[in-house]
Amino acid sequence: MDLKLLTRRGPCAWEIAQQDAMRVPAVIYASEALMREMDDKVREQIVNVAALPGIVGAAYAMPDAHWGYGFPIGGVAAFDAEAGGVVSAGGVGFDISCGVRCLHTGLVRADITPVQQALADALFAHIPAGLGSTGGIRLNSEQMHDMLTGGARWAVKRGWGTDADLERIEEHGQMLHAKPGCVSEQAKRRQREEMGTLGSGNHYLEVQEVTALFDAAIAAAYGLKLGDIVVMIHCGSRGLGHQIGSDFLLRMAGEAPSHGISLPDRELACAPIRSDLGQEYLGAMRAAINCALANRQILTHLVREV
Amino acid sequence: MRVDRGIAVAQCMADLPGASAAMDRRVMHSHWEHFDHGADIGVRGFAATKAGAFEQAALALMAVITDPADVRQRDVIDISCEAPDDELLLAHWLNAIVSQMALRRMLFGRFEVQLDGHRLSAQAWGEPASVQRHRPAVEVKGATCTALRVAPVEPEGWLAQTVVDV
Repeated sequence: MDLKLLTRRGPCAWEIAQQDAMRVPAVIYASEALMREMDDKVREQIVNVAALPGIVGAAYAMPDAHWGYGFPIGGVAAFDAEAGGVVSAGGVGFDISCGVRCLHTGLVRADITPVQQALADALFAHIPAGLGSTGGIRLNSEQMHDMLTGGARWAVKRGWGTDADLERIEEHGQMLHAKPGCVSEQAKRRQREEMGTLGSGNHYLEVQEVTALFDAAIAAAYGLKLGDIVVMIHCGSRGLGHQIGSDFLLRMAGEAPSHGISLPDRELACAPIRSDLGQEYLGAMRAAINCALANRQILTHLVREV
Repeated sequence: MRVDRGIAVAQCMADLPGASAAMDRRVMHSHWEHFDHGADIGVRGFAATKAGAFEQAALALMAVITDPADVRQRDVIDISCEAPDDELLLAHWLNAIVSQMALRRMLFGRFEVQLDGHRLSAQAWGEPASVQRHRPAVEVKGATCTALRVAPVEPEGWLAQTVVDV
């Protein structure tokens, strides 16, 4: 990135002054070395974010920022609903509530080395992964509604896990104020057979060993110590989330002019938070979060079965 | 396996029997290609007609997952969508294919597109996805509006492109 276009505000803080359509300045946090390596697209995209209605303070980019969709990956912005602030389906993307879950096994390397191949084969056989994979769970309309409102709590009630799990899950397993009615039928159809599946891309289920502790106090709080074997699950709301992302991205891109929003980049497709479309999107997103929470809960249960 | 470039024979005037050498030079040859987008991948179709460019972009989308030439044209399905403009129509079209792949557990190897303004109707030929036969590389999550473009290009033809999230 050409640093002449920015003003240095500290050892690791660089500002792009408010200009043209920008409503606030933009700030990038990175060392000079990282800045020199950073893609020019980050500057272009963070300037576009700074032009969105209702943005508060500044548009920020973190040290790992790189070219994303509308927003740079590693971009951060807050919007004031009362000041015409927006919510952007383009900025959020398709992988809704993608996250990780770390399971303690109580084992160490010596416990699993003798059965390493058999364990990998059993996990692969028991947990569907990859394109087109389906699980052994089929949801009817009523069950779909309950899953989208109940999240991991719904899964535990169905027998996939225990109440103790919920104490250690974000939102205690359930995102409130979900609106399954705002989720398209197409999205629900895509999810009917995908509960308890891992997906593909950068999603994974791995058996990992703790080989370094960077903060002993935090590690201790999580009950982690050197040599522990954990199972790490990384996935999100699967096809349901992908479809919600697609549905609302294109609706917001098409309807932006009717909300008086001029998009510097169509990928920043957004709607006012206080609009019907904005509220529908947030309701659907909360439902997708519950889908992801339920899915990671079911995967947790399947791992325990192995 | 990902295929980086393809040349299709359908819907290309220059490929029709009897097409003159002069026409070959004037008319866009139907083909598709991928272009780079850091974390993800761009799909781009070229053809003599806008509808043909949409077909080629769809083949480029399939080639992110598997070689479309290896997909048997066993079953045909209808797909339709509409949008306020050409570019959003392309995104809708590619997302409709992604949805149909997920719902039907299918892969497609051939497309025919008809456009009526900003309304699209199409047929897609393919077969059930097979991990063994198709060795799918990735699952496409959706078509984005990044680098989204539908435009006439030289020689006489059309381009249709966007970035897909994988």
